[in-house]
Amino acid sequence: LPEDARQPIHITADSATRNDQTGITLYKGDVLLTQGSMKVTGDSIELRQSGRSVTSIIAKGGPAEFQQRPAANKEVTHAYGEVLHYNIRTKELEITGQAKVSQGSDSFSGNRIIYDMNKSTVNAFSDNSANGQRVQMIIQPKAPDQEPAQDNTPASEATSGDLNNQ
Amino acid sequence: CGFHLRGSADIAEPLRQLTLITPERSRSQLEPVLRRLLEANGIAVNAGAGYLLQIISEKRSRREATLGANADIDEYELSTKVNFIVKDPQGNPVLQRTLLAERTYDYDSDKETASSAQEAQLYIEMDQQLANQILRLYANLKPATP
Amino acid sequence: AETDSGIRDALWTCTMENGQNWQCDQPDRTNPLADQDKGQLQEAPAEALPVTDNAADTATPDPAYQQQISGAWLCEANASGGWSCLDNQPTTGGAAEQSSRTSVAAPGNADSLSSDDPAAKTKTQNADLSDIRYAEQDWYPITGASKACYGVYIEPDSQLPAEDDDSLTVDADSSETQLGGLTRLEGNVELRQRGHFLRSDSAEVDQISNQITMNGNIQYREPGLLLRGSKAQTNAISGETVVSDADYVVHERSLRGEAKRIIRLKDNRIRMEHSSYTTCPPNDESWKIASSSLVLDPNRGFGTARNATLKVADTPVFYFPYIEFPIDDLRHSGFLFPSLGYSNEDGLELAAPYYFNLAPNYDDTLTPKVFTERGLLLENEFRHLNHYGKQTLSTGLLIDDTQADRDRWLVGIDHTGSLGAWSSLVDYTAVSDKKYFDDLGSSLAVDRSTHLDQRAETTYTREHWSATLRAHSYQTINDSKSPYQRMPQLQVSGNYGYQLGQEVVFSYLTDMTRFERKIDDLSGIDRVTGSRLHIQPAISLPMLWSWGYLTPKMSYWLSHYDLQDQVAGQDDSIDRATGVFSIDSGLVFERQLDNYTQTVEPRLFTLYSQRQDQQGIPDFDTAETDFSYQGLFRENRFTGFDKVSDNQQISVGLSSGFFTSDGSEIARVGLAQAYYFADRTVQLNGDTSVDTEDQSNYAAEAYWNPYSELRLSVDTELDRSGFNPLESNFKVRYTPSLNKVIGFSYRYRENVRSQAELSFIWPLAPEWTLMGRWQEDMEHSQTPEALLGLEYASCCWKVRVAARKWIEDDSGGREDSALFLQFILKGLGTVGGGTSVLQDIIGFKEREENDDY
Repeated sequence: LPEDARQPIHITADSATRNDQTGITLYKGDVLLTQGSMKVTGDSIELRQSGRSVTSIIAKGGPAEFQQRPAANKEVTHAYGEVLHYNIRTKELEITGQAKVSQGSDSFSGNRIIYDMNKSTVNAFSDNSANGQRVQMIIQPKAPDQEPAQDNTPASEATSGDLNNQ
Repeated sequence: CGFHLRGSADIAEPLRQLTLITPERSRSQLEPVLRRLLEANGIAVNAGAGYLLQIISEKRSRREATLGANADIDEYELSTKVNFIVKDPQGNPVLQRTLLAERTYDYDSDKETASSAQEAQLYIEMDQQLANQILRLYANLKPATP
Repeated sequence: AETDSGIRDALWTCTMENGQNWQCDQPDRTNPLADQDKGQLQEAPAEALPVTDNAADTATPDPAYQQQISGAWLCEANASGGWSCLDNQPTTGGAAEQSSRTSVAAPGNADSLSSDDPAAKTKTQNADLSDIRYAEQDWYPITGASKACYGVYIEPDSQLPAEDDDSLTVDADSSETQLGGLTRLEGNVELRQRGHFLRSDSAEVDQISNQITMNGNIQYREPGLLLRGSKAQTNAISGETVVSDADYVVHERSLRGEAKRIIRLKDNRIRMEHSSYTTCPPNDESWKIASSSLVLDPNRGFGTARNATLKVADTPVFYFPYIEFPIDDLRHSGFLFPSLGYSNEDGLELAAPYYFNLAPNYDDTLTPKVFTERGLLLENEFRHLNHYGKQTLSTGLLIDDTQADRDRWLVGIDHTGSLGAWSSLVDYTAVSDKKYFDDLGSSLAVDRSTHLDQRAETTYTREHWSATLRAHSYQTINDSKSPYQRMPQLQVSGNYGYQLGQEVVFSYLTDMTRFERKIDDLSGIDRVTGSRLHIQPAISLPMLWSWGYLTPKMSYWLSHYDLQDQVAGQDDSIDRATGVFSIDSGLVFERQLDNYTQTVEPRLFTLYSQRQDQQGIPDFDTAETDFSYQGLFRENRFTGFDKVSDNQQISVGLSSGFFTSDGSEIARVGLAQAYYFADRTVQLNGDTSVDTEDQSNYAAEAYWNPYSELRLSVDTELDRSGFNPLESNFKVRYTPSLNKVIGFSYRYRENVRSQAELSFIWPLAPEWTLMGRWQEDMEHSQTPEALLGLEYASCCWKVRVAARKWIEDDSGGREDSALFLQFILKGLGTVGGGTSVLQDIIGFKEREENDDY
């Protein structure tokens, strides 16, 4: 949601190490980060800060997952991949390695995906090796009169560490 | 020289019940002859399911066999061709054949009405012959022991 | 001409109610004719087998020789143990049809038939998939092609999503998506949806309008169809796809062509604008049909083109404002167009059929024929089918024939119908003058008929009895006597079996007929007309055992005649009552040979019938049957009911049959003779001779059917004393395949006939086939018929040239000769008309009907 950025960030993890010179905090072991409707899970999450504010979140996992509801009337968007690099200022999520983004019944997959939440655009790329994974888009054509199916499960506010890694 | 009177090879029990289907859109001339022959040999026809004997096509045709001095018709050759299929009660086809019977007769164009009566009688004889061949093939089936 | 009553295939829907009885309701199908194609309404092939009486059954089923069974019921065993027979939609190739094409598993072990079609499998096996010259059109050469087509279309087995899965899957090298809006994809884009597949260099998917546009090297695939083009648009909801600057391949029909635009419509019709259509293989431009609009409709199995031009080797040859042709692969595929004939009497003859598929259950073929010496003959055949029956109206009209300077016309009505207990038949032909067929039957059709049937009848059948009311008259088109017309005839016959300790069968035949005749140029008893009531009750005791049979039979022939123009000295009202008593008996001896069973079947037939003077009775439908093995075991020497032969005779027959393990008879030989204990005085009118011989000649016959491709038969009549043959007939038929048929027959009767007929179809090379028919009449040392044809068949067209020399019937031996040229565009469906002289070559019709031999 647009007001997510002003929400507090909650993080649960097995361990955390912080490096003040680089401003990087590294959380490891079944890490869950939530901010408003955004939720990021992964084996490890790296938080980069400059000054007080967090500039980018880098989650790694097999796969790591990112989830957010872009707007009240939009469906929750899910993103999976080996490395999720979320630039909070540009609101641009770069996914590399088995990347996949899905929104409602539509889904995109490829070797590398750039998901720009401001412009709500998804650009997918395959790696150019011969048998590399190609971009694949699966959509459910909806007849114009049909209202797009609302994903009516409200985004669960992440409050405590017992959230399962959806 | 090894000949003996044919033993009583009566028809296997499952074969004693038969449903006979004929083509539609025209009357099958073979059906009454075949039905009477099957019934005379102890096979109940169209009295409940059992095996299926379906006459797929039955066709009578006539062609000139020889020509006379004036290049007109001397003899006609009649033929009846029947294509039938037999299915066991489970619906598996077990026999499919195309049989053909033929007769040739002297045609006299001055006695056309008598010739057409002769043709009718020859066709009946051919139907009886085909019915006998169908019966022998059917009776010879060895149904899988249920 | 060949007359026959083909019984077409069943289209009823019929279910078995809980195993009890059998309900067959009206077929509810809206378009009973939809699966009837042009070819189906023609008769099944007339395959001539041994000429003798008890001809062999074909020992083994011959799949190559199977006729198409469109519409035969598809009967499945249902849960309740009964039979439910659904109408068999040929387009879907029901099991019954499938089983007809495959060879039957050896009977007896009752395993089920292999349902897939071996013929199709062999086609792909020997295709050379490595030769990729035309791989983009899915076309691969066949190694060792045995037929004119040296290649075949093979579809790659692409994994298309299931039919019901509506989701759209697109693969590409890269994609840019406005979520919920427009997606642009680049690099080898592959789109899969609901049973079809689209490929292009780049694509745009608009999720709002569901419109997908694709550019560059388009390839559209769905089962059985390939479209290629530069641009394509498809609608994700309706699946409707438009491909521009396209070319297409319909694999199953081996059709291909190009088009400015190809639209794959929702109801899976294909519409093409400014397109071309051909069945020629990719590198062969022999012919094509270019048209401004062409619609292929697989549901109805038809293609319809508007302002179409036939181009042969790219030069326009003929223009059709509107042309329709079957594209269903069940159709035999030879569009008879045009056919050309020349005979010195009729001059040049050009025929070009037009075919109109007016509705699912009726169609029409108009064949204009130009005779340079006579004028324009318009021949038309209208066919109609409904659930009751099948009707055909054929007409011919030539206004002001320049040679005969009069109008010429022909009207033909054919109908067969049957529903429940009622059935009916009409076979009516009338022509303007006697010479119609000789002149206009075109030098291409063999027609020696003398009397044209004009007959209509209806029959009511019950389980034990049936009644037929018939009106049968004739139009005589040569100078033989005008026949007795049965106007009308009512026949009622019954057959009842009773178990009185021993099976007793009572049967009766009644025949009430009024015989009329044009008697102006007739004399004597030929002029007599009148009505006849004939009643023939019979009782028989059939005793059947596996080792033999004994059937005494007593029948009584009662007839009453009311006659007009009776000959002097005979009265107008005659009654006749004759008793006929017969005992038919026989034994069956058997022995087992290595893999055959041989039987020896002695037969004894004793016959006694009272002697009655019947000279006053005119021979309405009576003539003497010719001497034959079967004839020795008949109760009456005469046909019809106007003469009952007086017999005190015993006929003895000895025959031996050879059977394979499944009960099929592959050979039989038989000898029979009759011994007479009284002279035979009953003869036809005017014949006062008396047969005083005390034994008949010998009748011998034999046939051998070693395997289904070869049949031989011989029958002969040997003089009772000297054993020299008075009559001997020999016949051989060798049919190793649809495309190789040899038939030879020789028929001899002492100073009556000595005639040989040879008929052959033989391939000289995959493309070249020689065919011919030759009749030699040694008795009158003349050649009534000599025909030689050569056919060149490439993959998608055929040309036939034939020369024919024949003696016109009743022309005092005048010889006529004709040349004949015929083009056939394969894959355009055959038009019914154009009965060409080649149809009388044994096996030719079957070869035409199964064109993919």
